[in-house]
Amino acid sequence: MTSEVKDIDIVQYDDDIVKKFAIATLIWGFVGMLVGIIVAIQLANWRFNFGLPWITFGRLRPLHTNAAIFAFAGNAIFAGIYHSSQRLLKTRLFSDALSNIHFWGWQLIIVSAALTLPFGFTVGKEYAELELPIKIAIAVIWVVFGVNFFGTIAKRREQHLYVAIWFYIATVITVAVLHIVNSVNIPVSILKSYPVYAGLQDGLVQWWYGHNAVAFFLTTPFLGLMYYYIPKAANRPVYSYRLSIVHFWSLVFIYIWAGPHHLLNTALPNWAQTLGMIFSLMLWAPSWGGMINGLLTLRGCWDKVRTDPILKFLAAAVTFYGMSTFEGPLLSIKSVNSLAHYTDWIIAHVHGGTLGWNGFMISGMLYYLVPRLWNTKLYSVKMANFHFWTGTLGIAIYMLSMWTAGITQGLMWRAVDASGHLVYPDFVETVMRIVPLYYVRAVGGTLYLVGYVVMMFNLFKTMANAPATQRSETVRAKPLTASFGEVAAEGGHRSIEGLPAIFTTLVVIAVLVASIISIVPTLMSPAYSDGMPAIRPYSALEIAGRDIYVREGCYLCHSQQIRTLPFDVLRYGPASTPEESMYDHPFQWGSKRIGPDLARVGKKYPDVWHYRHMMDPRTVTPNSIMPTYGWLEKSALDFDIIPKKLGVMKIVGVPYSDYQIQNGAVDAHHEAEQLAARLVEQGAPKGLEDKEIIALIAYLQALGQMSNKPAATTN
Amino acid sequence: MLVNQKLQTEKVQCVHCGLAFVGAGRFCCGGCESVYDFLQGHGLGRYYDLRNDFTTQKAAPIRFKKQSFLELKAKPERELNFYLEGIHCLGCLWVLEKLPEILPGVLHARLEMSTSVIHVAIDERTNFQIVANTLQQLGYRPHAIEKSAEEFQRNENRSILLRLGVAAACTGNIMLLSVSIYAGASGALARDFAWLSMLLSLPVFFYSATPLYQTAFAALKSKTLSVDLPIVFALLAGFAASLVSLIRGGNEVYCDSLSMLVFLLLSSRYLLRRMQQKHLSNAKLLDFLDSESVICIRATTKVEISVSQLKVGDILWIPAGGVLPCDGVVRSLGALLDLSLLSGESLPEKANPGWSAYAGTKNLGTEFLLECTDLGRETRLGRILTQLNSASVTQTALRGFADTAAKWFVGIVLSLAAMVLVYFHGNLDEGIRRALALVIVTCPCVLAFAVPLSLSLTNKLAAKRGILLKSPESLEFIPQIQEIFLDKTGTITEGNFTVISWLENARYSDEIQSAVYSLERLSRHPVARALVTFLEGKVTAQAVDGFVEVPGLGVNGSIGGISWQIKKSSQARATNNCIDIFRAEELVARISLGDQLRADSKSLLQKLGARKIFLLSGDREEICVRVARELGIPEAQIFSEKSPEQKAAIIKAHPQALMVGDGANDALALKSAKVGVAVHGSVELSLKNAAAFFSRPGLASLVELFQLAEQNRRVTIRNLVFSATYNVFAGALAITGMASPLWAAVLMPLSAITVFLSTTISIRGRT
Amino acid sequence: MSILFILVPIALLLAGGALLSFLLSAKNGQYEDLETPAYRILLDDCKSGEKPND
Repeated sequence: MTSEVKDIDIVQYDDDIVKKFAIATLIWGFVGMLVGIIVAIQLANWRFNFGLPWITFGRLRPLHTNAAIFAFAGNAIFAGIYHSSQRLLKTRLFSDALSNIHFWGWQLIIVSAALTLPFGFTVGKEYAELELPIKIAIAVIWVVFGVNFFGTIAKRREQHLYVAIWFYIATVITVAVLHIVNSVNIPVSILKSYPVYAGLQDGLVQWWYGHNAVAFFLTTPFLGLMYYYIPKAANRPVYSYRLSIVHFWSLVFIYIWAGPHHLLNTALPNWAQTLGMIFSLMLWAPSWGGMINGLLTLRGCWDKVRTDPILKFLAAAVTFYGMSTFEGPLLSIKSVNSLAHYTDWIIAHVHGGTLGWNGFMISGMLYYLVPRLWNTKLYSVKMANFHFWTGTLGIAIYMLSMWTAGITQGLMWRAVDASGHLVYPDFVETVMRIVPLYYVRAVGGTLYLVGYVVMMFNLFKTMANAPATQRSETVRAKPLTASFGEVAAEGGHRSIEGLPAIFTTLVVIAVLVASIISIVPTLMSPAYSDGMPAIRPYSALEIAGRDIYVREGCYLCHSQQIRTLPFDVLRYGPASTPEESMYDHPFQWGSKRIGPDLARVGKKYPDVWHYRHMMDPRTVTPNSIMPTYGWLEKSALDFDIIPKKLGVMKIVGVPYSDYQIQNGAVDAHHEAEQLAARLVEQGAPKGLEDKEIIALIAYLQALGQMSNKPAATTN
Repeated sequence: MLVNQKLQTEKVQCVHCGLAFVGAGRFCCGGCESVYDFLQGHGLGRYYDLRNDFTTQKAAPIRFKKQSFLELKAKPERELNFYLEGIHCLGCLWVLEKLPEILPGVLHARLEMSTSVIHVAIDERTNFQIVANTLQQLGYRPHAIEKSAEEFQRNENRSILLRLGVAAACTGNIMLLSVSIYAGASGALARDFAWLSMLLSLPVFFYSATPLYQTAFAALKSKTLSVDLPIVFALLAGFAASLVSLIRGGNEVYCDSLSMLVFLLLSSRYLLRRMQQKHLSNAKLLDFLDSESVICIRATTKVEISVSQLKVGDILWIPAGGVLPCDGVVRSLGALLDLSLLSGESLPEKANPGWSAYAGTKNLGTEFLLECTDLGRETRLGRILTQLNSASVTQTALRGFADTAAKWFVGIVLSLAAMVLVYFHGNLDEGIRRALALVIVTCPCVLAFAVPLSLSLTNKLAAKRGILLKSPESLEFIPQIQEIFLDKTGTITEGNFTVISWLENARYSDEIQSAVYSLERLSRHPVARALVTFLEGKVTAQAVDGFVEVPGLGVNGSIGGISWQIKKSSQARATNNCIDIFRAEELVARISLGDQLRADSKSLLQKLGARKIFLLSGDREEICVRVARELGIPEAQIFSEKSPEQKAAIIKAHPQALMVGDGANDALALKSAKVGVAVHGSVELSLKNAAAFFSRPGLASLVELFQLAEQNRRVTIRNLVFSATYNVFAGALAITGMASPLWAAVLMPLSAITVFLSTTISIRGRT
Repeated sequence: MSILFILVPIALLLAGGALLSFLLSAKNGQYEDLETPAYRILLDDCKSGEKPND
């Protein structure tokens, strides 16, 4: 075909980077899900912890969540965004170099996560466990991604920004802000740092981050992908493009304040809880608007959905999205939340969203992408359909088992008899009831993984069948010219395109970081709080013990926040006040009770009880499902780093005196010896005074016992 | 004996436009074939794959003739806008946006599918005429459109959108803060939140709400009450009250209710505007600049020029089938003119040299020369149109009841609010609270938008059924109409000739039909067409020697050595047109043709209820009477052989009548009628004079129009009743203090949404 | 709840940024035509002259 016109560019898309990200997605998805099954089995049967520190549930669970979110969903997002943006903007990516830095940098981050988390290097906040160096790496790579992405927008040849691009923009900017704000940590050593926030404040920041991570990492990019891949796969336009624009803008304005719904009935002030609840409920409307838009795009080609696996996955994904965005607001209602919080219902909700919405969206996208990228046909449609049904069955089993477990346990926790006593005073009783369901859940997860593995096989076979010579798709497009720009705009538009935009963004982020680091500590300092502090800070030994608690991921099974609900108070003692965790860097309120709440466990049991409990929980609680922590009596406690810990704690606002800091190691030794002596008296072996177990016991015995006021605690 | 019969014949689908046609080859016409070649030649064959995927609107493919745009002034614009006929699918989008690749100098081309407008930016390498030509070659008839009106509308839309965005963002964040306060935040925190809300509400008060201030004050200046007035009062009073409260140290602010109010008002206005603008795009047809070209004889050579370059005295070459662009004098033989546009005459008239001919008439004969005597406004047609346009508009766009009601409403609400304030003069805080709530909750915007909404939706529905309304307001008059004047040809009757009876000499049966078919096939006269359609497929054509068409009279020719003559009967029967067939000078058959009554005319007329039906036609009395009798129209209600001016006079004597007639021919009459409905003819011309245009022939559209107007009336009344009930009830809640301003701000839009939804659901897709 | 002194301004900043991009994009004419873009994405160009993969 002759081109009579000379100034048409023929642009070749960069699909190599998409291929790389697609392969990475496939592989890491497997890893993340495999670890998920392992931890599921560990919950069902504690023996699968094997007494090894690096693979205990407490250390693996963050590996599962991080792999699923950042490795699996993350790589998928990048694959999809890079693939669709180039085509929507009719241009090649801004910089091949940046693309590759992005890719390899991200994989490096994942590998570092895999290397650090099992060794206990964790910050102790959900989905934000990775320690400071990795957090910084994430920020850097994210900026690289941002520059690459905005640069592509700047050099686009298509004037209109399709709605998917808007979703991507929101993702890039918001995730950056969230990540930075929640990662303001002061380092103690290269792989240990403390957040500048504490207690309630930290909780709010954490869940402001946590929920918006769900929103802007697991939802908005996927919505953008949905608005691109469903129309492309079905070859029909979005049902209502206007609706999709309204959907986008309403979501962007509302989402940010749903965070507090993770803190309902806690020490968070009531008005903030109500705020979170209302905004979460409001979110239901735009979310379902998006779902309806996506599903109605398929109207008129339902027969195609029946035969085409891609459309099956995409349609199912959107349906699961609808389900999750209905369940979410439901769970945000205070009364519902009082039943569901800390139970497996939340787990069911999460996995409906991640396996159904994210997982299936990614699967559909990969089935669409791989044959096209490798210029060949899908190896087996039958396998893809098998994957779909297996996966769906897996999700169903998973959710049904976890709904049952969650509601059962929730009801058992709140059961109070006529005389006002707990019907199930022993926590472990409620656990025993649902352990069989943990096995069922593991089956569901395995089924899902089986389907996923079939997809991997299918897709790798497809790649293997690819023709030897590969060519990327090309596009013929004229560059946007100055005259066009003048005609289209009334000035000012150039400022959102082009490199200035990128630099502005970078500057904004830098300013943000700088301000936070300088403002926060001052705000946090006691000088601004009202009156005398209600509690004392942790002692030197207790701080060391706390860090072990964080390292082992105890917060993943044990909460430290007694809610203002009668049955919580009956079971655990007076409701937690905001002051009680005011020196907790990071806060450890927890979001799940696989074991009982520990907010007032201090002095509840004798010291030796804790020793026995850590060595083998079944010696004190016969049916416990907790792993054993035998290495704690073998590994030596690092006393020398304690002064450094205290020093950083002071920086972030805990009122330690310089004297206390300097003598930290000495004080800790002293405390340890006293405690070890008591343990020996109570029957524990000798020689524990320089082991890690001693610190942990000291910490646990302090929980709830740190009030400065005359004791009003009862139990 | 043969009676009227329609025959099915094998039809082939045109490869390009999909139209079914009878004939040889793959294309229905040369136009389609050339587009096909053009597309294939440029490697754009993918168009055909894409086109079949799905369609956006069911538009009939346009048949067009080849045209070139020569010697038009090369406009130096760098952006051109065209309305394109024939946009209907994805393939169109694809092929049109490929324009930069086909044509050097085109910088970009963007199609807006909802309006069928394409924006083309060019540089100095190309110009308007080349672009227009190319668009034509691609298969889309382009009409240049004026940018200014559209651009103005666009800018207005944009400014509302910007204000809306600001209002939305600020309201969202204010709600965040005020919900916190309502949920229990107190003390210093609450005060900080209150100040923050006030800060965030400033952009809303001073930027987003400005259109409201403008309309309210404009109304005040002209001493009327506008719907926006209570809202403006609420905004000002609320703002002042909040400020005072803040300064005094309290935290009772109304910023949330008020900004929510502004946000909701702006969004509903924006949506309504967009919806109305979308459906008024039918009226874009009125903006066309038609750029037909004509062939002029200059110094014995034929030169193609545009109509705008014609001068009086030019000799024009009018081809067979051509439409006359001006008034003139016939200067050669061959003219056979179809005068239906001007006179409604069903039979074409032969025009000899020296006779006058008029702009707008069509040449059914062979080519002839015309000397131009009058152009543009000076032509007979032009004078009629000018007269109409300069005549004062007799129909004012009355909103009727709703408008007056709205003004009273506003007055009452404001007085009530004042009374509340006076009553609570001792406890002004409470008084302000209640007065605000009252003013917010009883917003008459329901009155303001329910009526136009229902009209606009009905308008849209009507358009789907082929009924184009110039202004939706005319729907309001229709249910009350009791007198209907109908044109005959094409409305009540089929509009073309059909064979009514065929008497023939049995001895020559085999030959007669074949001969008639062979001869009439070569003529384009309406009678010939009728006979050909009638005989299609029943006989085969034979070769004809010495074919001659005598304009206005008939045709002769010889077949197989025998001479045949088909001519208009000398015995013109009273009611029909008669054709005699002569074989070798002997009369062997007589065919009578007539304009047949539409099968459904009678039943449809009955559906119009007890209304009086009149027949108003330019055709002969005998024919009119026959038709009227069949339909049961009394003799006193028949007006036949009326000229356009006479028709207008009759209509003026019946000022509350609806008239159905031809767009240009009956223009004066249509304009004088209470509601004028144009059928056939050009849409553009028709909508200049009539309130409505039926694109589908027959009475079905008329019945539908009445049904739609009735439905609109019912829905409007229902809305008004609901709105009245709601306002009384909600107003009571506000006055008694049971509804706070925030509740008011929520309730009011809820009621608006209810009205909106109930209207959209009621006026939708009723088949 | 002094953390709000950080979270609220940040949220407002983000909201402000969102509003700014909305205003700029509206001025740029991004919301003029909300029908055709949905069709345009279905028309990916293919390798010169060949049909796109299906």
